[in-house]
Amino acid sequence: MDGNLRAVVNLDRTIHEPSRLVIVATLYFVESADFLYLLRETQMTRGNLSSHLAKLEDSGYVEIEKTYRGKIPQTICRLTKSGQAAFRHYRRSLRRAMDSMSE
Amino acid sequence: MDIPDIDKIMKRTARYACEDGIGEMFYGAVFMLLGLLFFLEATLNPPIPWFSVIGFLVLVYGGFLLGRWLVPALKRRLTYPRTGFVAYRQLSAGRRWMVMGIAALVAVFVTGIFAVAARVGGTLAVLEWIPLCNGLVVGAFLLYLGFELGLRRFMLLSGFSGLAGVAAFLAGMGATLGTAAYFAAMGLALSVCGALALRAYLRGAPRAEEQ
Repeated sequence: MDGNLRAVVNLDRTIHEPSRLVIVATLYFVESADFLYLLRETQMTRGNLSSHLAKLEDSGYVEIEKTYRGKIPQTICRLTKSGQAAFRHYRRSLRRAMDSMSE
Repeated sequence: MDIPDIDKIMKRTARYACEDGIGEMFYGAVFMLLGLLFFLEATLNPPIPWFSVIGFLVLVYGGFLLGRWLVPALKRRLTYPRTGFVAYRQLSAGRRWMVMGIAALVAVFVTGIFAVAARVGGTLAVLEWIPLCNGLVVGAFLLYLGFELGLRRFMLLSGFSGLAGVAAFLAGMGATLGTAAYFAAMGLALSVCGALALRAYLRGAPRAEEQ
C-alpha cells in the first residue's frame, strides 16, 4: 500500500470523528474553554457533547475540570500535551493524504 | 457530518474574543481620553512642560493595565454566562517582553516628536502629517485584524480611521489639535461600534444559568 494511503488508514479515529475533531480543533487554539462554549461551537446536544468529551478524556487527549462560577457549576476543558501532539500528527497525516489524492 | 474546516474553527475561536464589542468600547474610551489630552496640550496657556509626554505614557500604559483587568471582568459578567468561557493562550515571557519593548519604542518615538513640536511651537511642517500617519497606522492594524478574524466591522473601522486621519490632516489644524481630533473621532467610532456590537450580542445570546 502507498505510504500516503496508509496515512489515511492510520488516521487517529478518536480525532477523525467530525464532532470530536471540532472539539479538539477548538481546544487546540485556546488554553481552555468551558462546556457552554463548546456546546455553542459544536452545535451538539449536551448528552452528545458529554459523551464525546468523555471519550476524549479516556484517550488522554482532554482534561476536564469541574468547578464553580459563583453558584453555577462550570466544566472547564483543555487539551493535554498528548492531545496537542495527536492533533498536530492528525493534521499532518490528513494533509499528506489529501495531497496524494489530488495528484 | 462533513470533515470540519479547521481554519474556520480557528478563526471563529479567535473572533469570539471580539464578538461582544467590550474591548472596542474600552479602547474607544482610551482613544477619546487621548484626544482630550492632546486637545488640552494644544489649548493650555501657558503650556505645562512634559504634559502630553507624561499624559500619553500614563494613558497608554494605564489603559493597557486597566484593560487587562476591566475587560475580562466585564466579560465574566456579560459574556461568559451567555455563550461560554474561553481562556486564550498567553504570549511567552520572551515575546511579551518583545511586544512591550516595541510598544515602549513607539511611545518614546511619538512622545519625542510631540516634545519637539511643543518646543519649536509646531513650526516643523513634517509634524502636520502626524494625524494622517496615526490614521493610516491604526487603520492598517484594524484592517489586518479584520481580515485575520473575518470581522467586517473592523474593516469598516479601518476605513474610518484612514478617512479621519486624512480629514484631520487636510483640515490644517496643526499636529497637536489634528491628533486630538483624530483620536476623539476614532475613539467615538470605536465606542459606538463596540456598543452596537454589544447590543446585538446581548439580543442574540440569552443568559444560560446552568450547564
